[in-house]
Amino acid sequence: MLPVSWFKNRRFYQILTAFTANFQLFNFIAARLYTGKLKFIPFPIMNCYACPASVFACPIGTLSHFLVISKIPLLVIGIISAVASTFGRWICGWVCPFGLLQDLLNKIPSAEIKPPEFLSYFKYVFLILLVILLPFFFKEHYFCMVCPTGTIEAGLYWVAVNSMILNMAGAFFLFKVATASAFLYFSVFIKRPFCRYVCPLGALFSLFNKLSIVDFSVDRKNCIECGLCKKSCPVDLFIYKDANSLSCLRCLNCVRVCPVVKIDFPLVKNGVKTLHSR
Amino acid sequence: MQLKTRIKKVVAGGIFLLAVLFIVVGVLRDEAWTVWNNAKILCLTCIGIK
Repeated sequence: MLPVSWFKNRRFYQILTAFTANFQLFNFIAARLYTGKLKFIPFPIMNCYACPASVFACPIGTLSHFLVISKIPLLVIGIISAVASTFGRWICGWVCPFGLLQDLLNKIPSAEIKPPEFLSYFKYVFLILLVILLPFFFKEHYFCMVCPTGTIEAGLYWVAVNSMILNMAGAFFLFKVATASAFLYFSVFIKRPFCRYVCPLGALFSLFNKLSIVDFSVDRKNCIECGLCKKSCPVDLFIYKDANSLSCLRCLNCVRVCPVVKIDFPLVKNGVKTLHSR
Repeated sequence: MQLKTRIKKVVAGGIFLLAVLFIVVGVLRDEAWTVWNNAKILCLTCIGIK
């Protein structure tokens, strides 16, 4: 893979965002939630607002909450749509802290499992059912019930430090721990299982992947279909089959490994680049 | 720029403008307070209690 300087490396931005979205770290010691003004903002990443260090609101939790109280969530829809129409799933590849965790777990040497491709449509089912329809009709936050982010970032911590919460924890907590553990476990063998098959925010972003300001293209005449793109891809895509696939996280790994994959900036004159040409 | 790409970018621009409008209307409807009121309390569902 073509080396890039640290400020062009997505790992740097993933770590930076994980820290920025959770910069109230001393709240872990004080065992309290951040309640400041930044929590007005549903920041479009998977980062649970029940985490003591979290400074933003979770967009999926907020979306569900508005539907539970039978209000139209214009602000959240606006923020998600503005980001998605500009960047598509770039957020998933470069910014989301839960994506970072899965990326790091997948670095552990292990056998690789490749689930069938149709499973990636499940994230749209989760979005429509657990985030939109069921909360609206049955007035419960159904996606939060299965979301592993909340368990990992908040649930385990609060049960460990607060005896009252520990006493309230029962079968539902164990179910959440089991779900989160399963995601963490499978992240070792499957690249980004949560992002590919479950994440409702990724499902929303993916709808805009073909519209965002950056397009990918493949020089088919020079592509030898060697599969290097798939090997480097965090979601196992052959970029030459669909350069702007709904599943593509825009991580640019394929652009770094292959000279025939190009980044297009259609809004910029002569805005076609390959990293290898520089 | 190809016509198809141009159409795609016009659609994306339209969605972006609509999204900005939604944000403005949302802020004017005090939705940010609802977001904050929900986010400032410990979500028991998120942590697996209720």
